[in-house]
Amino acid sequence: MMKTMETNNQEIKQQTPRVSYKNLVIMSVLLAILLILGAFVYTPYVLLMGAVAIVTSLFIEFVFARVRKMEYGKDIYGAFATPLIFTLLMPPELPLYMVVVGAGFGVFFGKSVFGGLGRNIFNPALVGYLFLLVTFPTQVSQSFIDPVTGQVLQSIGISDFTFVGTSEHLFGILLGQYANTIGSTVMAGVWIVGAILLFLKIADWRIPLTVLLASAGFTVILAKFYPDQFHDAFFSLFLGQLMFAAFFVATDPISGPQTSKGKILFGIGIALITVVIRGLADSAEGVVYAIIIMNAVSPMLEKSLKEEDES
Amino acid sequence: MIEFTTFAQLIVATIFLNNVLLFSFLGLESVTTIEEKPKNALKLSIALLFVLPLVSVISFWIYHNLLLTLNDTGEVVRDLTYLQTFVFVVTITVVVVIFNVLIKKVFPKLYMFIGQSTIQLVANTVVLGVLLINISSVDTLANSFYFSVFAAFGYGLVLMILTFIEKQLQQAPIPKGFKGLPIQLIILSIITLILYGLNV
Repeated sequence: MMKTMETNNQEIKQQTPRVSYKNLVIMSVLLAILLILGAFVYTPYVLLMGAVAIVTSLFIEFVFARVRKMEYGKDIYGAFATPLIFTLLMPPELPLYMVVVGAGFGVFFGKSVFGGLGRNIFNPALVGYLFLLVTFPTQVSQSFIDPVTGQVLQSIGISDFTFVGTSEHLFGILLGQYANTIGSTVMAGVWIVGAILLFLKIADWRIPLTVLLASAGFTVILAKFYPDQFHDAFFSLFLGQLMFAAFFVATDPISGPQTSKGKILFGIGIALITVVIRGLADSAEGVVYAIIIMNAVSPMLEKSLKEEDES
Repeated sequence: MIEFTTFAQLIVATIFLNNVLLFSFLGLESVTTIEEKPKNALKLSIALLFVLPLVSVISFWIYHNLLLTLNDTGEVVRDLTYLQTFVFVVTITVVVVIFNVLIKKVFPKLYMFIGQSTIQLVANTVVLGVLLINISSVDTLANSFYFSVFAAFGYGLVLMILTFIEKQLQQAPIPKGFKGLPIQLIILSIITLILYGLNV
């Protein structure tokens, strides 16, 4: 009995797809750099949030592996990226128990239940974010902090902008003078760390490129029909979590598609849903919904593309 | 539940926001009977796309002309609405059987493809559920037709997505207790979180 279980485990281990432990470690380090940047802009409390998220998800994964009597071992390298991404998507000064709830829900229902590292259909960080958004809407989506004045804002610093963006605004965004979520406040950091990610080939360049280009394109097109809802296409790229999500969340090699055609379609889909939700729905930010929807669709997308190639 | 002022809103609301499978949790039993075969899901969706508009238009007419009769001033003359569930189930069965016999004679190829799935639909709650939503929140016969077409489309879409995800999960070491229906419900609920998030 034990023997068959062991061989089964080995077979499963061999089949584990799409995971490179080295890349996961580098990714975690890069995300930690972004978190530290966030701590410089806001308060060191941000680091505490990150630590609590990491401890929660490690605890859940470890206990789950214990209960299933499976080896945890090397999978620990994959346990840092998810809570870090989760924390970077949160507004600063979120109460710690909410961090525990969100990270715990995301890791358990987004990852462990699906069979652990490399098996998740949805990005676990986004599952946690979405659950927290539904459970505590005001704290997650309506309590941002202005980094310059320290005021509490109802929405992100430039979300309801009607101005034509100037270079002054651009520098402000790059250096983190407008309120935003922890990860996307310092846009220059997102760019530099994202560029490193692409340079080291941890993330595929196709996804960020298509997401950003296509969302600018869709904004231009939709602005023709709805001039009240859509404004400057260039500046819309810097709003909210779009840039951060395009570089760090959408490029997740596990929950996204594998083929290059699939990746381009995946990016275009994210861009379209994001732009539509931003402009026409009540929600301010749509990129999280967009990535979850495209995660759900991507097995279908891949399969249909593969069948086309075969025939 | 459903308020639509424009046609575009009706499409978006029915296919995505008020998706019958995600929002009303109708037709869940088909999720388990599909057995991870996308082809079965496709057959069921196409069958639903034919049957649902037919049934819903007929039942809408029956409800507003036979079960519930109003006179010119809007007073209720006859109210047999307590019979609606029974009448609708009979309607569904009769329409499905007649539909199957007809396509067997006229389009034998189509019958080969969707014949089995059409019979399955008799026991599917999505048909009865859509009929009940139909009479409670749709005002005209044309709207009931559009509503059922898009409801069938949205149901099929989610069913297809779910089967492909299931197929990918076949190899995964899912815990024993979560295999099968539980993991399907978890996937569905994660997708449903989006709908709730959008309404926040």
